[in-house]
Amino acid sequence: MNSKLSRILHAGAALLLALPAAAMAQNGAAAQAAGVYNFRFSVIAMAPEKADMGTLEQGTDLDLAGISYETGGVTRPLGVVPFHSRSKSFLYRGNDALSFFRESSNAEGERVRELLAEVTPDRSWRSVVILAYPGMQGAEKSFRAEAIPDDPRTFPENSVYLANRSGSEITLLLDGQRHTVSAGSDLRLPIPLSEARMLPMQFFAAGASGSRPTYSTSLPLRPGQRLLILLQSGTQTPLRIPPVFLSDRPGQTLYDDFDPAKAAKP
Amino acid sequence: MRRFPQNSRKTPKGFALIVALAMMTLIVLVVVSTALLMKIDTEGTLHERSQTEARQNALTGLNRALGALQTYAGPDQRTSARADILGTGVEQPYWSGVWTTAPTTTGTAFEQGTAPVWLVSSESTPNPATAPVAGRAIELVRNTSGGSESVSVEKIALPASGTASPGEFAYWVGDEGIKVNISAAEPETFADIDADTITQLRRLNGPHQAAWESLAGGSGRVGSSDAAKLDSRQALSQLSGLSLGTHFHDLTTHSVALLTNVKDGGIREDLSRILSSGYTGNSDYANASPLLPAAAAPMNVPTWGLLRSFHQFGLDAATSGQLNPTVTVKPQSATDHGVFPLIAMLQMNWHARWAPPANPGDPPNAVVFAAQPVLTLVNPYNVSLASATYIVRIRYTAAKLTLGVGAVDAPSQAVDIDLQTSFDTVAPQANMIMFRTSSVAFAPGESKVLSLSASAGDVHYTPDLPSNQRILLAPGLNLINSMTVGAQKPFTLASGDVPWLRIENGRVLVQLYRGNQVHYVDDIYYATTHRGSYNLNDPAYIPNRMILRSSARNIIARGGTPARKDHSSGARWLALYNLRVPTSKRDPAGAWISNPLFQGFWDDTTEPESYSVPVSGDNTYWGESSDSGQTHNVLFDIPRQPLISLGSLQHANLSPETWYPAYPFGNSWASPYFEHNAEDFSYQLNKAFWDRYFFSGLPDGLTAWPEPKDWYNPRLFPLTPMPQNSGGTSGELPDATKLGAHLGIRGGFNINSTSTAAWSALLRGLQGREVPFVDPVAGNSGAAATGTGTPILRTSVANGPAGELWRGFRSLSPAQIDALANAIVGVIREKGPFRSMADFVNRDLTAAKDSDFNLRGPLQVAIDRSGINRSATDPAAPWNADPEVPTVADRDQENGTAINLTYPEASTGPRSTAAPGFITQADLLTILGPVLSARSDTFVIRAYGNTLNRSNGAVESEVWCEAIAQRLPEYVDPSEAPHTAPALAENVNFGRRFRIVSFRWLSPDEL
Repeated sequence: MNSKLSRILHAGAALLLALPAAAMAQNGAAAQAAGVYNFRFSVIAMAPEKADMGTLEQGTDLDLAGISYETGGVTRPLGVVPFHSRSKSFLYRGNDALSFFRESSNAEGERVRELLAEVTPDRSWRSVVILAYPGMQGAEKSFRAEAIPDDPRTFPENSVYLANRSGSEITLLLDGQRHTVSAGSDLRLPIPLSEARMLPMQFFAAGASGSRPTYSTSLPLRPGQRLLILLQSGTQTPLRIPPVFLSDRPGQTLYDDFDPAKAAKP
Repeated sequence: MRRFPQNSRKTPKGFALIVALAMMTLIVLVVVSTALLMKIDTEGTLHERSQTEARQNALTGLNRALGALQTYAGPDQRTSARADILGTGVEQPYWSGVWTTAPTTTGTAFEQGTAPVWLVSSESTPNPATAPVAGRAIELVRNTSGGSESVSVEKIALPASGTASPGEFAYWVGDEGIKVNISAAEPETFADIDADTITQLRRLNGPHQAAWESLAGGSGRVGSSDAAKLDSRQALSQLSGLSLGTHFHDLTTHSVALLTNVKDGGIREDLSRILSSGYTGNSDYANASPLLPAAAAPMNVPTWGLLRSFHQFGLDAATSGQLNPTVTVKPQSATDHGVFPLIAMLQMNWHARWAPPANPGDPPNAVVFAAQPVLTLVNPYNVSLASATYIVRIRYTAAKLTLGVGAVDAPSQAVDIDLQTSFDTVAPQANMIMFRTSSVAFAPGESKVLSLSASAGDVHYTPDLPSNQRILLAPGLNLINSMTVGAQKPFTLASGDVPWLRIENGRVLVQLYRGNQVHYVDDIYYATTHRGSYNLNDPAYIPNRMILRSSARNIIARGGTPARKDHSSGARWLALYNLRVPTSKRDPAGAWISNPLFQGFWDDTTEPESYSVPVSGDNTYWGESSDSGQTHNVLFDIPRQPLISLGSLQHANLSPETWYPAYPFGNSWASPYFEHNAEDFSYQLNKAFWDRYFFSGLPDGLTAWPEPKDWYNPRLFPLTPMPQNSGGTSGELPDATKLGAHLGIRGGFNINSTSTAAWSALLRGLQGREVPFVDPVAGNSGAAATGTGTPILRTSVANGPAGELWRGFRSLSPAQIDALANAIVGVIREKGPFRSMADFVNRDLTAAKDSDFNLRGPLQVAIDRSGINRSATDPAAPWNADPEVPTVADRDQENGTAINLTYPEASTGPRSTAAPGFITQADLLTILGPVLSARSDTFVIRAYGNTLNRSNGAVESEVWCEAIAQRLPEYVDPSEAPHTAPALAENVNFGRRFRIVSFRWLSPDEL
């Protein structure tokens, strides 16, 4: 009896839970079908090229301050997580491109909104990280944005995702293996990570002289981590130095903002 | 048969008439001929007499010229220059002027140093700016086709005297010391590219044979044996396709310079012998004796022992003659020159993290503080450093790391660790963190990154262990393992708690030991940083990085940014600061934040690009950039051969303080820490050395005169036959103070030369010479060809090919050399004549503040103006295109705080100034040093004499002659030894003797 009742109650509960979910799914499908994009995103402000940096300790948080995005006709500011140089995580629902603005006052004291960048979404997106390049403070029009979607099928754990947006061919020597990535192309590589280790990598921009890498480093990686590398053109060189590296953290993934509650758990 | 009548016998009367007429004619002819012969004979006698008188008049001119030369150029404290030093528009640009280098406050304009004496004949005071008086001028050098060599002077009348006809004489003294000597040839053995290494190195240590061939219409280089045979300008034509052409005033075969102290008088002392290991001649040169007069330097003065030990590298069997010797690391002491790696960066990735709970599955309830040390050491030398282990000691002062929750000033929960007191407790490393390193060797210029040994895994710091049990730092970058410090500290997080991590401001110092301390970076200040939302699971640390500025910033960055008030960002670190100083200290004002080479800070980002270190294997990047580019930078030379140039001393680590230059000797950049008109450290060194000393290159312990072929500097040679013992062996070699009185510099070149062609030929002395190199990056070695380029090396051995600016060498094109020669002559015209070598090397303390010549030495001004450090065709070498270090006003504006530099304008300039590919005046002086002289000692005299008709004043005879006058070490009164200061009035007034070493009469077409 009890077990039967229990089964009935469970079934009822499941129905109660499933119906809204099904309704939501239908609504979502209908929304997607109607052209509504629905995804989470966070913005990471990457440091400017070191060649242009006044001091290394110059933070990038301020570069995100004052920047807003628009969703559903509503303008919302990007909140910045201190010292992480990234925004909180936001949900975007809309039919249009994701637009970023900076608002300021003109000489007459009127609020002026300047469009900084637009990111055209893809319907497959569920979660993306927006890599924003605010540039040097005061360089108002240098904001650029690159959206990297989180797709576990193409960017699983224990792998490297290299997006070459440098405008020229880049050769990557990763873990002793040479890979050539043409301009505009992406490279996804599984990385054996049975234990934490340093991952050596060297980047050779097109035209780099001899065997001297344009940039060379070694980064710590742990099992389960993903490493995103974004290559862009420098202002003076074919390759921005350093490239952009983002990796998962315990209690925090590449695509999430920092959650102290998660951080409390070892 | 009819016979002819006998009346034919009547003809004798007519015959007699004919005979008579013939006889008369004959007599007339004889008389006429005799008269004619008598007339010719008379005229010939008169002409010969006229010629003789003309020659006597010419010799009078010659003697007058010699007298003027002796009077004005005989004393040591004189220099000379051509009249075009006054400007390009002078009427007689090739007249020679003599200036005193010891001006008095009274006396003539010459004696007061305000005007030269022009060594030409003239009825009045000669002035090269105006043409000689019309009708009184005589041309003593004529133009060749297409040339402009003409020299005219004023004739001086000689009245008739007794039977002597009236006449005239004239003379012109030409300066041979400002010309390039085409007979000064390198030893034939130098051309053997398969010769031993030291010969190849020796070939590059001076312009042993100037590249004058293109001036003579040739191409390529004349062989040394042919050049050595050029005993006269005329001999040039014996070489195929070569001729003097239009370069009478640029080329010579005669010039010899004495080793004269033009600044103070006397003969220069031989530094090779003074710096010999067993030298005991003068206690002033003892190891412990100060290198500079104590009163001259405001701070610590280096010792003679320091310089002596540097010089000994070139004689030491371990280094001498080797391309890539391995040198044992040794600390620097007050009297011993060290060779040691430098601390380039220390990064301590301090963090807090959850401690593993006692029982798996339990919630965490304690944290532990930990660090990941990353140390970068660099070898700035062009030698390998032998494998060695080191001790690294780090001390924090007043620094605390706190993990808390809630308000920072009133946390609800907090744990901390005192970074000053949590480590060793026993002196001498009390309050220090002490590591040992594994055995580390360095290739030339190599950087090494050291971190926790991966094989050791995570480690815990235990204080006061014996040094051999200390935590190991091994080559390579390990950011996986860490070093925990202290005990676990109870710490829990309730739901919603967000921890923060805070670093209180403090100071950190780093010491590197190899037996004794080898490098010590003094307390570097860093400011408080607070990080909210700290992730205790996150191994993304707050890195505490102390960074050598040279590696921290890309010094060839474009677009420049404002520097910091502490003067650490964007400093011209090689021009103004010494990164090799064994103990890095604060600036003279003692401000904590003013160490210009290091900066401490807490980083504030967590992305791996921030807390990781760009590496390539065990190497990291430094010098040009800390992000990319160079893993090997060769900044300083360890001598491999006996020194022959004072300029080589630029590599001696003489600067006792951080805020003294990395290359103090031979350069003269104004210091921001001294008044603009005060003598800084470089100024004092240059003033003390450049005129008083020379390098003979003779080895230690030599007691007898070497054979001519054994002189290490091929430009040096004995002026007089070497003294011999009774057995025919070489006599005793004079000591360091006397040797210079016996020697001459073949082709010694006057720094006041205004011959662009001569400077160009001299600067191109190394054109096409192969450069031995050892490339530690490519892993190869060999001899780099230079083609038509002229190699300019900072160090005696290159560690890469041309174009590898941070370890290789520069190769200047002929156009760049010409631009440099033009700029040098321009500077000489603007600032010359220079009254001493020190005057030529040092900046002008009397020049206006912030002016070119107050900010840097004259030769550096020329280099900067020439554009050779800004190559449009070589993108790898746009040094001068660097963003300049902003002025102090800019920094003040940016930071709102004054930095209290004494001469702030001196801090500005391209950040790459003095980087290895940035040619400095010390680089040029290293090469030219063995040849340069502050005066000329060889002169050509052209004299003219004529006789005039007594009645109409027409020229009856005229002659020209040419003589070479050579100044010798002996005084005009040889009773005083040449190495002593003159006491006799004759010697004080007339100095050292000029002697005619060659004479010939010239035909008009030889003028």
